[in-house]
Amino acid sequence: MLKDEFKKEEQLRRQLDEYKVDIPVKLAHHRKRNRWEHFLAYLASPAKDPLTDGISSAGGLIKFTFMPVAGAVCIAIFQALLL
Amino acid sequence: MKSNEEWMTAYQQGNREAFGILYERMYEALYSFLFRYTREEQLSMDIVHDTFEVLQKTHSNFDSSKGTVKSYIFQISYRLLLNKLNRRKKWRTLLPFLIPVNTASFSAEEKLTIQQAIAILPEKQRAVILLAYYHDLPQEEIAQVLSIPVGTVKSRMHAAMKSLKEQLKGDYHAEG
Repeated sequence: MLKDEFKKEEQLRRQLDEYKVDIPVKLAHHRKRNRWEHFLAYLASPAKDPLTDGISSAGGLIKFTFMPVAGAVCIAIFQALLL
Repeated sequence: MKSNEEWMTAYQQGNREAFGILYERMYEALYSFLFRYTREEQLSMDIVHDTFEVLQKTHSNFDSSKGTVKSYIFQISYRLLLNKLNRRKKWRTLLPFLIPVNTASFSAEEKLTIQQAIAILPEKQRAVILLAYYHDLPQEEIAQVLSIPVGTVKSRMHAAMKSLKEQLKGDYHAEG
């Protein structure tokens, strides 16, 4: 048995034994989540704010402020070229 | 009391009750392995359910001469886990802001240390140490679950133990 390798490692064994896992009660019966439940769980799961990285970096706030203006200018130029 | 292999044979012969008994016997061990590997409750629960869905479809493929029911179920589970994690990595590359916020909390300092030490092990070493220590699987069965040679199991095991001892060095010195 590979576990025998731990016989000499009393300290490590003791620490590994500290790692207990609580089994969720919901698991006691086999029940498959349907696609709708998966989708709801996906929507409800917390996610990283996509703007945080941009704002926290140097000049990020300025970029976010001027990006809509630059976008509007580009669209205006594109429309002017079409006319 | 019947063994897992006997219940599996009964299930293969059409005994529906046998499936429930196998689930009862295996779900805790399977969840513990998945949770220690991923530290994600919902993902681990989903994979436990998915594993038994797959077992319902593939139970006829089980051959007791090739291995135990435990290693067969762990193998299904490990493959599903790798697929899900790989798929997630791809999504994260495309949409990095979808990374879920880690809400895991720790209650004791030492517990945090061992959990973190296991979590930062390379994935391949982590699987070996979890299966060997917490699930008492012999090296041949670990090799089967992870689809690797027996020699690789041993080398990964030693590397994992060495790494864990290194990570927990602070605790060793503090208590020694």
